[in-house]
Amino acid sequence: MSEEADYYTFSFPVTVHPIQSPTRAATAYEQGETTSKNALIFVGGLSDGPHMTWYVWTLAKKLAERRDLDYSVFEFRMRSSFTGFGASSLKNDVEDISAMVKHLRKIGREKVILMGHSTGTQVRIDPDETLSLRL
Amino acid sequence: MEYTKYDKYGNEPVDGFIMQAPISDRENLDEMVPGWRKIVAHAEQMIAEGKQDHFMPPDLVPPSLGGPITAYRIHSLMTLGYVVLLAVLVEPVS
Repeated sequence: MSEEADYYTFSFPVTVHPIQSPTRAATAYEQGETTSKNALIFVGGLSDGPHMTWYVWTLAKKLAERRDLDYSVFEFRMRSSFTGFGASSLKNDVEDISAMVKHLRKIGREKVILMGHSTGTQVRIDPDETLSLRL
Repeated sequence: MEYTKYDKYGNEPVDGFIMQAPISDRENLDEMVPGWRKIVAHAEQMIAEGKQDHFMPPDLVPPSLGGPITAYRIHSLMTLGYVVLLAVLVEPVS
């Protein structure tokens, strides 16, 4: 019914941050309160890139409502984004994520959490150190 | 898994990690890509020839991957365990 209509008509704003990165002319995309103290970085899975995983939008909205948590959500373009994954590597991913984290520290973010979806988790950590963000 | 190796990469530390749907299962691979052993064998051959950065022949790349891929990359993916690509369509929450 209107599910298909919703697919093509909903929209959401992002704030674009150019960042210094091994990825040429890389940009990061922030959703939520740009004055937030903390940051959640979302990295998608294979062949994903910014704005392809929709629950991130919902996550950002929910986080924006929780001012006590003080988080906004970042996605960013990396060498393995979209169809670039086939010519990239985990080493490149680590470098690109590190550049994103460095930028966030530079703009004054205090806590930085790295979140991965699907193969995005190959670049994450072993289960003992996972945090669950309780909303 | 890689981002935790701070000594290896000298990368910027973060304060926490969240893993969502980190599926990595050899059984899944048998189901999703029945010919994966042939693909891995071909990739290994290319790697042995020093061609790990060359793209795989298109007929050996599963369409579900969604793009060209090097011998190194597909080998790394398939020997660690292939991951189910979850296309999660979330209805916009009003």
